[in-house]
Amino acid sequence: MSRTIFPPGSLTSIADDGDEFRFCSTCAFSQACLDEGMDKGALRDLHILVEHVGPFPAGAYVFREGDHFDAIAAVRSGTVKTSRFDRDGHEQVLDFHLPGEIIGLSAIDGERYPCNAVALDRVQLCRFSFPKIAVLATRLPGLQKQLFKLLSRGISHAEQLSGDYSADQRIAAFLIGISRRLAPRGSSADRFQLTMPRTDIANYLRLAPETVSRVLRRFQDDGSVRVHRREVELKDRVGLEALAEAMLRA
Amino acid sequence: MYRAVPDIYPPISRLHSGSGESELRSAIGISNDDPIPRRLALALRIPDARDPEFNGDMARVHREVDLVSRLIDRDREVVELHVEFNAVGGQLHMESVRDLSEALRHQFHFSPDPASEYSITVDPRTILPEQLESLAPYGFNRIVFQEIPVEPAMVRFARACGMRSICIVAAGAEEAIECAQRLRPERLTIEGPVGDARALPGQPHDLANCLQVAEYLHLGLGHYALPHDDLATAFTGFKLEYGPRGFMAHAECDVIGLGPGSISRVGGYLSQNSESCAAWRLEIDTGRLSAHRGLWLTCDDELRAELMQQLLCRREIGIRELEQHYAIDFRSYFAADLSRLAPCLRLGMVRDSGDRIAVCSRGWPWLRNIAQCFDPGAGDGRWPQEASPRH
Repeated sequence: MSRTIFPPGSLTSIADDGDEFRFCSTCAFSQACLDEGMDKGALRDLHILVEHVGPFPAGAYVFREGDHFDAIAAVRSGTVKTSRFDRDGHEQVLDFHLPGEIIGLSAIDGERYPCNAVALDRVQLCRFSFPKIAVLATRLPGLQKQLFKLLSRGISHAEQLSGDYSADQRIAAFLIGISRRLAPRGSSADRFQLTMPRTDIANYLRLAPETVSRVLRRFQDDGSVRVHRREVELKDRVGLEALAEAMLRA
Repeated sequence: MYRAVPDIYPPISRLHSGSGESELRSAIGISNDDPIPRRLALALRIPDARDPEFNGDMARVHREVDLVSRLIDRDREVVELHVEFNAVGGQLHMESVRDLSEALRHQFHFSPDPASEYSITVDPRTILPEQLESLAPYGFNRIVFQEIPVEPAMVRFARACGMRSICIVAAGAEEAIECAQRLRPERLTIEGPVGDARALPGQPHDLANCLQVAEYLHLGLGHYALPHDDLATAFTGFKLEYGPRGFMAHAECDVIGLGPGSISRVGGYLSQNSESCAAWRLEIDTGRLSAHRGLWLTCDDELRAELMQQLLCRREIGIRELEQHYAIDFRSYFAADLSRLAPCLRLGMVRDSGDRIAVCSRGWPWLRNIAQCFDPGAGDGRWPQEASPRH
């Protein structure tokens, strides 16, 4: 099966956008709803709540820390970075959100967004009014399960990164993590673009930018990866997974 | 005179004027943020030493080096440096060379690898032995003799002074053959119509044969190298690249051009500095980069540029490789180009074996013409009437 390379460029086709009766192919909730036997037509109520927003150009804020929280959003295309600034004004990158993933979940227990969300490239979103999806979730156990799954993913990320892991382990886990997140959406698992700048990758992994490059260059020299500009090809998946295992298991 | 701008894809004629300076800044920013930022090749064109403004111009070159180096992350290594003085018949200003070299090494991180290419172009008619001697201490390991005649003693002396390779730029076929036999420079470049296969049918073949007998490897487009030279080993090891300065032994560098008319290629952005000294001076004096025109490569440009790289540096097109990498169907994507290539196939200049198209030895002198079949903008200039290929 031929899989597209993330993110789709102008030589390849763009992901299916769905219509009034079908979900976008990247929708984070479509599977949960379909599992409940509800198609998009039956979910007309929900559909009215779903709003396609964007495109946001690179660098644009999707929301800012302290903004009133009223909606969660699923990424339809592009990559969104969430981050916080500490008291000294230093940025701490919290996560990267790829197509099909949800942003805004960490706000669920409050009234305001606890972080900033910035588009890293051209981003399109699907916005859901949060109170309404929460009500719907009480009626659809599958949707609720999906919400909790997405929530816990965010939490386990933070735990992973605070552990005592080497730079090699962190970078291998990062690559394998991205690969595993892209694969279910029909993107190639072994070849993808890192849409985030190395300074953000380094910040996220708690490493120096030079360390990220040095380790990747060593991975390239020993044949585990091939890096061409932003594009990464995983050549030795088994080796990288072994290296990443301790961290991904945590 | 400077050396002519080589053919690159996309051609320089497609660059458009406008916001080159801010675009180049953002291209450098993006390239700094790559997972592994590319290594650097610096290409400096120094204004004419006979110009009364020469001292001011050297100060401007220093300012330009300073402007650009501030934009570039410090962990990016320089692996190629090419300094070209536009001073035919003029003296090499050794103080200028020394100051420039010191400034560059202060502002950039130079690779200590001996295979790095740090070259300087000199005029053999005016260079003095003590000047040649001081080039290695200033960090140069290669020398380009821009004009003939070069004496064998001078070549021996340059080698003894630590020059790892000597390149001679010859103006014609006879001169090149004579140089090859008498001086044995590591590299030979034939400029002008003889290096260009289109002008003299039959002759490029004879030239290539003579140089081959003299053990020179034809890299293509009028460039030759002895088998032990770094360019030749890059060629045989499939690591050669054709960039804004011609053939390069270090593939996948960002090329930063400094000085009037120089070309930069940073990530997916191609730009050229103002060619006129007056415009360049004004830009540098007002603290701007001189990239007055440029172009962001589209996906199609990147694909075609990659294809041309393969043709020029490997003498073949890896069809499967391109199809996989760019997710295209090669035969349908390049249908128009392949029909332009059809005469070359019939004449036995290229061979199509299904998953690759290889250039045959009879097609080598016509490499440029074969590559142009894949340039949709090349127009009708592919086969000038006076030089249609012979059977």
